[in-house]
Amino acid sequence: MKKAQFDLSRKTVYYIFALFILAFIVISMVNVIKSGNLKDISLLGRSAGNLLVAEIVTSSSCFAEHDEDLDRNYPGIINLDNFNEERLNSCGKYFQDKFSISIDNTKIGDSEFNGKEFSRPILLNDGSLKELKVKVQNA
Amino acid sequence: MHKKGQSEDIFNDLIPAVILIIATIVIITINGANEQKNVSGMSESDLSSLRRIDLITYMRMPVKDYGSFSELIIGLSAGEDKSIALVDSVDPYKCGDELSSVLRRNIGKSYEQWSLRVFNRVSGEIFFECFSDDDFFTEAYRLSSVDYQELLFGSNMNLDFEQAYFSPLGMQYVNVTLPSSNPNQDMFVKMGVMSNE
Repeated sequence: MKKAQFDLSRKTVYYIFALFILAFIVISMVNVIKSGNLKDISLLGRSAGNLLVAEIVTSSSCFAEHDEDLDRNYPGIINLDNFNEERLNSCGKYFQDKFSISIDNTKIGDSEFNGKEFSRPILLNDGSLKELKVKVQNA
Repeated sequence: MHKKGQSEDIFNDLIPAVILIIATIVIITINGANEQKNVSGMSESDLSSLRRIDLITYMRMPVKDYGSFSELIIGLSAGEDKSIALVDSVDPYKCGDELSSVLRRNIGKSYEQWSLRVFNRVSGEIFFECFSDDDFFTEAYRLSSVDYQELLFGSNMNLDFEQAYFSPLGMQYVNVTLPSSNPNQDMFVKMGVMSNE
């Protein structure tokens, strides 16, 4: 075999070998970056959902019980008289996606969307313990 | 310059390139993991706040004729008859059937697995503990009050409340202090929950 022929065949093997390794590395990098970003986005969506739930159960502009005399909020206690669409409009203003809230069979907010459901125990002002369910789009 | 007859070892070029690319991947992966840890920590912090509100809600929950759950605990710490609702006939630190039933019915709506332990804030003595499932929280996870005090005041002073128990994997804890008129009777309530949030 002549030297030129030998070099040509070795370079061909080299480029094939290098191509496979580089392709594998590039695909791995894309997957690592993509999966990391997807996980971050899903965690941020869940975090946004939790923040909305926190606002709902702790803020008097949402549904948390508020004592006018003491000017004090009671996180986790919800006055059913305030559980209506009108109050909902002053709640979660920063939240761009759809969401709905339900206690037992009473449901307010957007309807007909897919999303994740968050639930938290709450006390109604009559003293009964119920489960608050908040369905959030894109969480 | 290669001497005559010396073949060019072209694979030598590839090895440093592969090493540098792998190093880049490792750096990107570490950065990505750190970023996820930060986001995950932020999310966990939000959840922890919500769980604390949950615990406060459970403390406000009415328990039959005894007022709220926190009033029941404070009353019992002040010397009211502990046998009313709490004490198991065999284990003096275990929830009685009546209280256990109330807690399982209510906390069970939101958490599949949970534990609730009440300590004296000052002495560290365990007052009582309730579980969602006695089979799940086996004796292996429990310490006697003597062991607990040993951990708090003995040679392992650095151990905190959380480390004082051998917890099931994945259990997340929140706690709240219930003040009473007598500071020596302040109670410390620690709730552990396991959920897929």
